[in-house]
Amino acid sequence: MKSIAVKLSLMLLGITTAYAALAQIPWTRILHVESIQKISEEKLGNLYWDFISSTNTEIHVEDVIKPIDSIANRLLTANNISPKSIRIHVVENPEVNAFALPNRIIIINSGLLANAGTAEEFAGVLAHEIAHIEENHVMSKLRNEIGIQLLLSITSSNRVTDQLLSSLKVLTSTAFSRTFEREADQKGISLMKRAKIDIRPLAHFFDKLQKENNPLDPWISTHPLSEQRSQNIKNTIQDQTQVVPLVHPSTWTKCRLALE
Amino acid sequence: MKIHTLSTPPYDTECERATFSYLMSIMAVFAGLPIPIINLLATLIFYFGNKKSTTFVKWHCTQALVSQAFLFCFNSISFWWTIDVIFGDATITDPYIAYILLIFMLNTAEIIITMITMHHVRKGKHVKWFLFGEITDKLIPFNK
Repeated sequence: MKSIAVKLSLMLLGITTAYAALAQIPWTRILHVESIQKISEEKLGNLYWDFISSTNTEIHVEDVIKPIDSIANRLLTANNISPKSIRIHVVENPEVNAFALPNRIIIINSGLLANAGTAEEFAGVLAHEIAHIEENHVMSKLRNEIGIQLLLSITSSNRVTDQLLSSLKVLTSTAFSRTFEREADQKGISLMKRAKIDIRPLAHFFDKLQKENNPLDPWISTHPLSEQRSQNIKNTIQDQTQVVPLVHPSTWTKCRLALE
Repeated sequence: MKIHTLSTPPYDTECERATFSYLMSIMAVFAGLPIPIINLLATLIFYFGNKKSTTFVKWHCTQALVSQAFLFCFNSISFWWTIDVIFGDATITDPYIAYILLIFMLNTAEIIITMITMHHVRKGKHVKWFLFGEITDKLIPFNK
């Protein structure tokens, strides 16, 4: 029995040593794992955007784009995120929705802008989507939903499959996991605070959408406001001391009017 | 690995059955690598199928089973880790790739040793593996 114990220990020691030695080698760098993942993300993001832009009209009206750019710039620069690293597209779509795509792309539906009473309300939703991007939730969710096989096939081939486009629904019409949503909530609020954007209108926006309870509003139907989540926002409201107004109310009204 | 020539050579049918126990584990390794339980199950089924066989056959079925059970522990970790990478929050890291390589090396070594064993067992020789042979001896005492 002693001999077995010694041999077993020897074998396990050998295997552990082999593993420790193998783990010292920078495999991910040698095999370019990160660049493969980055290429996949870029291809996926562009592919999804091509599809969305072919089915929805992109809005280029200056009165709409300018305030959005200004809000995004304030959020991003205050948080040391390069504004050039995130692409924001506004599309004509009455659904109250905004979502993040791979390759750091954010799509904003005109329906969301029309429903946001103030620039701060919109900034809250935008901060939440930026948080999903910063926390790498988009690719994690896609990996969970469609599997790595599909991601690898994108890297190796330019063929666009129907399956791939149908997976777009995963990003546009379903929520992230409870953990991801909580993380994005917290991160989004901290992004707003650092940018000195008032977070109270965000809570108001949530309440408004919740009261309307329109199942056709994807952003609210896929982001269920549990009492805990609502309470979290209210708790952080008390912590905010410094607030600098965003765009002038008249500019925001002009933006909403331009959509009409 | 120790190879002995038995004083009373086994019958040809015994050699064939003992060889099959290893063949079973090899076939199952190829089929079951993505799902590690398959190789263990296949060996286990063959083991129970030969429970009433001669000591020579039982001994080799047991050695194949013990080695598969050992490998199963390592393969299972790689399986669940891969599942977490594909469907969970885990990412492809250096330790993950190192572990997959280790599993590949362990399984390749097992296949090579199994093939050598099959060759000798088919000729009626008794092959005792490092560690697993000794464990098997404790489970099924075999008088050479």
